[in-house]
Amino acid sequence: MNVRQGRELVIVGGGPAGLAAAIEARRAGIQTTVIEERTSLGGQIYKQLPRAFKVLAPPSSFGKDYVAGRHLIEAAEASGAEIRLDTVAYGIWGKDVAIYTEGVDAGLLTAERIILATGAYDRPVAFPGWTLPGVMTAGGAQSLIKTQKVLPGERILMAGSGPLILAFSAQLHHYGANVVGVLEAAPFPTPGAIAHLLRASRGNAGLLLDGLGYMAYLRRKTVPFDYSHVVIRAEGRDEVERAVVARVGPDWRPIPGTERAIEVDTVCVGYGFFPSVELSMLCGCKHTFDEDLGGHVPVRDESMRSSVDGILIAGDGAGVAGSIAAVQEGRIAGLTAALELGRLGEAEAARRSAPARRRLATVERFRSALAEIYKVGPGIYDLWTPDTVVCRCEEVTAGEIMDNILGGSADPSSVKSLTRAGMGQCQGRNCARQVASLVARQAGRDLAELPTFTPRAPVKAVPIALIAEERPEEEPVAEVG
Amino acid sequence: MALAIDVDGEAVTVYEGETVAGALMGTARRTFRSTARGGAPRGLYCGMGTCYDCLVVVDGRPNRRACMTAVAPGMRVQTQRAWGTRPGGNGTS
Repeated sequence: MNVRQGRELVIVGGGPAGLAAAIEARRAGIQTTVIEERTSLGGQIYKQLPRAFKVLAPPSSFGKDYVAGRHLIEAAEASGAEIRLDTVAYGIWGKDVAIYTEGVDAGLLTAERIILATGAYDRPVAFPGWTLPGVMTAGGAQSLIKTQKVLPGERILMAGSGPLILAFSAQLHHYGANVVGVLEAAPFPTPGAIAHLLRASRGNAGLLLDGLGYMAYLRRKTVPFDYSHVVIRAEGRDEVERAVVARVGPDWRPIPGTERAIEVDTVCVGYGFFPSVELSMLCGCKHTFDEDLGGHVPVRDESMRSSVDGILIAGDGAGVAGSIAAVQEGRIAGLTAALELGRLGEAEAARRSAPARRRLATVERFRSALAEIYKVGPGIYDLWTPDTVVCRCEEVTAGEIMDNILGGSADPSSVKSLTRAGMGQCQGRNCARQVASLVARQAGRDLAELPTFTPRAPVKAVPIALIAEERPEEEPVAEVG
Repeated sequence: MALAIDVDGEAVTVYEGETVAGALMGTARRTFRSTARGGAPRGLYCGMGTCYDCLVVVDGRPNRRACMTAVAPGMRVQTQRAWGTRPGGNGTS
């Protein structure tokens, strides 16, 4: 247990960014280890079907993402990188990456360079009834359909914002789901925003056409689609039985009097993603706040270096920009590692990274234009009522949180100490931002300025028996008589 | 390949490669546990192992994320009560 092993490059995360980084690093001859929590590579967007599923249709029928993902995974597997599946990196101290493999063992990898490629997770949005069975994230619903071939429910409402709810709704419907409505929180794009998007489509025609294609599909199938609408409540005794929706203003705040109920058994919530910054915060990287990238994001230079020597960060884990950006950033990070480890000269590293940098700049123009259309409204943090559970794990309500924001306090950590919000198994992933929003509101401060919950290891729950230095004796030493 | 597992005492046919979450959702069992404080029903939320809401008891062990656990022949799955081994729970190890 806790055996320490040396490595040249450790990449945390086997999604698009991690895989792309591994491929470039291996090309430069670097000993590379990829740590992946799941039992297969690909992350979320390139999530693969279980190996045991017999696939009768050709891979191309699963869509472009599946095919692109397969190519990337196969290239990474063929690259000679050491791939550790079912393995969690639960902490980083200096250059030591603490890992454990469930049911097997724990260890420490001492790396010369670390690339964090930890990806992102669905933005949690607290509203009354969001904890009922039947309310799930859009990502969770998509995962169920894509990899388990199971429909999430019989009557599905998709609520959220951004091109992903267009894509997910169309995909769900295409797989046979009864999508009874799609709610987009943002207003219909202004002519200026549309013009901006069209200008940004140069080099991104594929992305634009995808989006238009999904819209056309939903139109053709007469799936109701409403701009400026959000779900404000999920109702039901033991499961979702209906959803209450409302029209919202440009700030995403519900307009009184516009509520109506829709009979559904499933609400898929898709308001974008938060970068998984637990490790980057733990190892002391500087972060900034950008709501349209998902909130707290690590500061990096254009070669993916964080503010901490030896730690590079790539992909959605550094700011949500999608899989194309993630692959380019991964390539750049892998090449930067190669440069820093003396395997490539400056000129060669620049030459190899130039196409990725160009592609990244192109796709960033598109993302930026989309962000203008789907700008997150502050109303997203104000859907709660006092009885709404905010900390799902510890069942702490908004009312309890408000009662424990002591006069003048602008520190979410004190609320955590007093209420246990953020102390549950998800470790604040689903409540920290909402807690901060409540504190900010009370303190009259900007959410972006508030400190986050203090980062702590392990960033994912780890069985203590695996990491304990001493194991309990099997037998008592002696009876004392 | 089909295989049999036990869910709350009932024999259920599932498929090799499915996660427990996929198997439960696929057989219309959407409530996976009841919470410790309020006894509230919970089920699948994030589907990717970050929310720890989809917790079930597997072969006596509580707090298993259903979305991250693959089914196995003869597996015993129970709707979890509270935190499993602590008072009010139904995990045994």
